[in-house]
Amino acid sequence: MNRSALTDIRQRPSIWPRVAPRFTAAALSGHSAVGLAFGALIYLICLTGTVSVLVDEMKRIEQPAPAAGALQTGALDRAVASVLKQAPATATLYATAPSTPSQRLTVTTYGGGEHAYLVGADGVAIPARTPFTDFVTELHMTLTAPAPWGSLIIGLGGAALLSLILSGVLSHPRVFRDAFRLRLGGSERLREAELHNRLSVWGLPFHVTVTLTGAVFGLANLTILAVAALGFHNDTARVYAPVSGPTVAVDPRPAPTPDLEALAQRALRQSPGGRLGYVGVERAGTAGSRIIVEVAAPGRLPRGEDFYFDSTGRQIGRGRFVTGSVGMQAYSAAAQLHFGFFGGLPVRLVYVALGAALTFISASGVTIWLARRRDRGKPSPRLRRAWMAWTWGVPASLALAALASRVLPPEPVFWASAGLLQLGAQWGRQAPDVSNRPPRPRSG
Amino acid sequence: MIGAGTALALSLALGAACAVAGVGLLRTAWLRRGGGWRIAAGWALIGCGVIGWRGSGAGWDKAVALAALAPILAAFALLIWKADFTAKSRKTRSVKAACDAEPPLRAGPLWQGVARSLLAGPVAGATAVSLAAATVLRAPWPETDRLVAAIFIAPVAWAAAGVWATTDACLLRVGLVFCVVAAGAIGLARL
Repeated sequence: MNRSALTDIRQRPSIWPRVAPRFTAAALSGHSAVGLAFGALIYLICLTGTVSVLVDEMKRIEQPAPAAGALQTGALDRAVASVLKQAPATATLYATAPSTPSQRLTVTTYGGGEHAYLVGADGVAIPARTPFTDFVTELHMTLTAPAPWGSLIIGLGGAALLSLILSGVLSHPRVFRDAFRLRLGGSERLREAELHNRLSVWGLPFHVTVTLTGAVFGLANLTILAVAALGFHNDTARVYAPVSGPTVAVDPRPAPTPDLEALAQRALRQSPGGRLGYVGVERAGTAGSRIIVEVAAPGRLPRGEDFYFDSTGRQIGRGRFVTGSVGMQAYSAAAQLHFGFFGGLPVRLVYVALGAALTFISASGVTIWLARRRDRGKPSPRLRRAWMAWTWGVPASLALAALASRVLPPEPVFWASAGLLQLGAQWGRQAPDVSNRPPRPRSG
Repeated sequence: MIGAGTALALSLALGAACAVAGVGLLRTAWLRRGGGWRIAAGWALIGCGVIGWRGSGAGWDKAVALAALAPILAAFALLIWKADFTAKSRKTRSVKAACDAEPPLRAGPLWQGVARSLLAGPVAGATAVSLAAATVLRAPWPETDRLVAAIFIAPVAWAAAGVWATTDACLLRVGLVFCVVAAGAIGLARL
């Protein structure tokens, strides 16, 4: 391109609106403050979320048997009967059908604790032994803290990340203008800033989607509690009623579980093109039990349509999560969008890549702030060491917990390892925090 | 007459091609400044990607989700391909200058920091949850839609309120607006 053409381009009006510098400075200050306050939590959520996307693959590695395969006729009922025999205190169970050739039927029971069982193609159920996968997903959803505090903290982290996304856009007026420029030739700080901004702006749709849906899951209980207190005399079940389907009166008299495969077939006939998602049995073994059959709609974003039956096998309702209102569909689609479960392994691999990018963004944000502070002549060596120990220590501790999970429970291994790395970073010998240029003289 | 497999492959290729071409056009427009028709065409192509993904058997909702993911990958690939690895270039120095211009955290007395944190945290949260509750109880929509809208409104309102609380210099204004909005929402919910 010759000089006159370049001059011509420079003289054209910019397509970007001008933003007042005072506003962007204030927004950036807020962006930094929220990032520093929630950076460690957000980094942990992003990293464990990225790993959790591969939950099926990790479970297969941890427990290869029983082998996956198409379910034989009668396998579902045999599996449920087998699980109820092994866990007689079961109040509720969910039998989740495989959605890919590599998955197995999984039965999860509640009542006397939560227990999971893996089922072979023949319907034989054995207890699931996937401690590391369970730990990582639990860490992502609740920080392994007791309910409801764990999920509430995660929800707060989600709201903070959403606020960081918003303030990040407001505080970087050049971020869209420079969206196609990636300059990796400068100092480490500038490289990190370039990658932070580019990955942020192009990943924006993904970041907003996973952060919003995650924050929704984390804060839903708080919202429901507030709604129940303000409008329904603290009756949370009443608030959930529009999405929880028809109720069945409690009747503790013993009653056999109906033929679940027959119910599943009836549901599948009403939802052509679908496949079995899961079968849930509430108040199992009683005359007041309620059976839910979810028929997944593979071509759609919502997870599936629900069909409700009572203990005699009579259909009592239908939850129109695929064919109903926008609200019903959005409710059902939220988890699919959050974990990338709507497009098979290719979409989940894309989610892993974009999740890794979001994890890098959350780590580099604090790193850039620390480097900028150092370049201004106000280094924070202890904070920098703590941050480095966290960003490298969390993945290292997760790897250690995974390796040790066959002999030791992952939770104490992870927290002990992460804690020791923090202590080591603060007390051990450290390389000097070298700036790329001499610090500015401090005023005053 | 083409087979189902070929049709599927063509649909997927169309979805991917729209994303790549759309992002490519946007890049041209961005770098040239003022490339109005290229911007419009770029976004239109990205939008047309929905048709490609729809043809692969996905419903409209799933096609939109896939069409939103594809340009991200295309842009990342383009960025890496065209990345400038030249050390200390003029452009890099301008980025450095921009980074240096970034202000430090807002300095002020401790009470201001505490007040700002309270406003951005619990007060903004209470305001957001009040708005959500008012939506569930009073919005003129079907009950399911009200409930689902509310559980989405809570985090969005909290995040937006948090941004405002950490950005506005006048804390009194922020606090007053939050209190008025929360009181109004609670009043509406309890009517």
